[in-house]
Amino acid sequence: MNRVVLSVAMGPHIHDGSHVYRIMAGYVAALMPAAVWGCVHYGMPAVRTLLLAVGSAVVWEGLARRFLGRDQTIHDGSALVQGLLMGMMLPANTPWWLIIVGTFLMIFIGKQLFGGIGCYPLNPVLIGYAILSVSWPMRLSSHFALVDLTLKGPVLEPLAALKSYGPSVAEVYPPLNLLLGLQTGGIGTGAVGLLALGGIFLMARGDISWRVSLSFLLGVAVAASIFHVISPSRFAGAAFHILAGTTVFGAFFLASDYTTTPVYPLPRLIYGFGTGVLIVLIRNLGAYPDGTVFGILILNLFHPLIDRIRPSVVGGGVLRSGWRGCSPHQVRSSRSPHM
Amino acid sequence: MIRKFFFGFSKPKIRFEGWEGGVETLPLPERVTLPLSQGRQMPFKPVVEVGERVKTGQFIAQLPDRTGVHATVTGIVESIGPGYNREGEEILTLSIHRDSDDEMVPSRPIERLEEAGREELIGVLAELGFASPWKPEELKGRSEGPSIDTVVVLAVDEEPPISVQRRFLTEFGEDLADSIKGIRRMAGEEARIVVAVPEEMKDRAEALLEGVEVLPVGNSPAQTNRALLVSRVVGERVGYVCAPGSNGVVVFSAEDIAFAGRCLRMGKPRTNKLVTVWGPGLQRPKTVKVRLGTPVGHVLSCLGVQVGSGDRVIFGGPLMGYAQPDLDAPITRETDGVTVIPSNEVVPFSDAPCINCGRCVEVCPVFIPVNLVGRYAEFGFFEKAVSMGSGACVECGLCAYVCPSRRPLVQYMRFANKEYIQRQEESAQQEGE
Repeated sequence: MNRVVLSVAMGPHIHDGSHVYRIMAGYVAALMPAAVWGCVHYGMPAVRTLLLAVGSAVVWEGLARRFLGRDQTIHDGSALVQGLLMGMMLPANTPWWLIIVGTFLMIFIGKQLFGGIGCYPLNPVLIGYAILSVSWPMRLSSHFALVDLTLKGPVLEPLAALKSYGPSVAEVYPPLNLLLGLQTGGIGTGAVGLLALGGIFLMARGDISWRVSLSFLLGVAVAASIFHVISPSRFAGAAFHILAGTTVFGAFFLASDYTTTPVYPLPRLIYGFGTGVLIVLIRNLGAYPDGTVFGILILNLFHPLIDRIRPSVVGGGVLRSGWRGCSPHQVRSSRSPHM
Repeated sequence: MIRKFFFGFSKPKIRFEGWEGGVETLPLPERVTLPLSQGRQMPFKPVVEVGERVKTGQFIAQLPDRTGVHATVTGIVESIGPGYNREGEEILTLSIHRDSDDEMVPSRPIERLEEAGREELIGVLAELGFASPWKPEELKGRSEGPSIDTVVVLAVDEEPPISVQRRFLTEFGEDLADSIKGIRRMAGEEARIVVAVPEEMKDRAEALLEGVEVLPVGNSPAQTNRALLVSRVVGERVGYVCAPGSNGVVVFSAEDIAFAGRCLRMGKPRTNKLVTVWGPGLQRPKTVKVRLGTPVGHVLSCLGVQVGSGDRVIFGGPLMGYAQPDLDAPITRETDGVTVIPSNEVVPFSDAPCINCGRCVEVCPVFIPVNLVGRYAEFGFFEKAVSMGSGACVECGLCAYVCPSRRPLVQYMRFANKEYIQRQEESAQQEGE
């Protein structure tokens, strides 16, 4: 027999084939319908914004890894997805420099300073967007930013209108129009129906947790309903809060980000629900028209704490003193002496 | 090839596909290699010399309390020296070069097996190479342990595609039922005998076996895991309690005790082993009967399984099996399966960071926060890793199987445990000085 050199390794010797880039490809596929719809709705400026956001995010990622002297991670696709998410939240005619500054803040400060994918404490997309929206509020407020474009549907952002004119504006925005995406806002955040389809696709694939996304929507619905029941003249109902603004986008694509989300079932429910409630609190009682960004960021901070609610390890997980004599693989093969 | 056993999104489910079908007996190998010791246990003392001719069933090595190892083919003793067991630990081995067909040593069947006393059963079993955990009265004083109150018989296989143990509920069911009666006689009336069987065979097992508890077990590797199964039976975690039997629990595989019973009836020592083979070139997993000590290369070439350089030949299943360094590795009593994974299907591990997706946590049967422990171990916080529960790891391999970052999570667990213990010992030594 000719000599065969075998490879030796520890198990498991097989893998289910999942990979980070496959998850990211799922995200891209799920975001595509809404992104394409945004491009149709807003025209070429939207295409420009999306491409610039994606491209600059990937370039920043590459430069950041290089500058920090780490292995290149462009190929995992996380920068691409984050660039796409950032682009979809921006108004269509955001100036080019603002996009590049935004993706820089996202990748450098939000992500790579902490060590890149898996290590950041707060969702980098939201970090980038939050800094932009605090620094250049007029540029990021869609109905100011989009003043040059002619659009179908009301030009005022629904949540801004709600803030200024009270819940009676809900009549101007019929739920069906909101669902179809006839609302002013970020490029890809308006088409609520298409985003929901994308979210369902991701949940079916198991790429995002239904616990986070659905409890997020439930949190918004419950909190908004309570406010609405207490004072219908001051606060809009649950349907409006879910369909207007970035709620659905946040539920499926921002709050579900792995790194900043708990991993256990109950903590995921708490995290999602808490975010939803917080968003409504910010919208109804705070200064900002849309609370999705800050709501998720605040719950991101709490995620390690919430994740401590977990089942205890079987047997307490204590290494007993006899361990050295008998490692698990020996226990597995333990037969009585020589039977 | 392996993936078709699993379906569902995040929880790997397992289906036994096509395990039915008869057991084929393979032709005799040119050479057999027999282990004369097990890991850290005392080695058997060889009673034959290199160059001596042995017959099938002849005593070749012995322990003081009369049990020993038997030749499984007829031929010349070729070497006695160091070898490796499937875990890669150095042990003493003896190899025999076969020079003719079987010449059997005369068998000595027990007449009136049903009436044989406990002492006689134990004694004859030991002579046939089955060291039972029960000691005859004369040896009682020497190794005093707690008396055995629970006997666990595992008629489930650890993971697909292995289908060895479950066959002792179907094709070889009579042998198992017979042997369990013998076990009952040795263990005493008040001992608990628990037989773990696959869920779908529960009714069959209950009809077949008398006077035992039948424990139905699901097909997920998290349920069939040996350590977890035993702890489920005895209601406490025995995984890290050392020698089996030391806490009153003994664990047998169905195959081992069924063979013991059959050998007792026929008065012959055990020479065979059932092995499920699965690899490229086979339509479906195939279970064959081979001589103990057969080199794995012989088994694979008989079945037409192609093995090239860089492939993995695994003793056991694809999740928990032990990759073997060469094709001379012998089939031993622990080898239930041989799985060949071609080099192009081997998925390499990477040092990519954990993305905290939580899939490992979902599949972990002992609820270790794998996402945290993996990171602690990676960055050297061994104390933290152990305090989070890495010590409970049963090495089922499911976490690494589902990890999208392809992190070597099982290795991280072992690493943390080992480093932790080493450091504990070092600091204890320093305090001693």
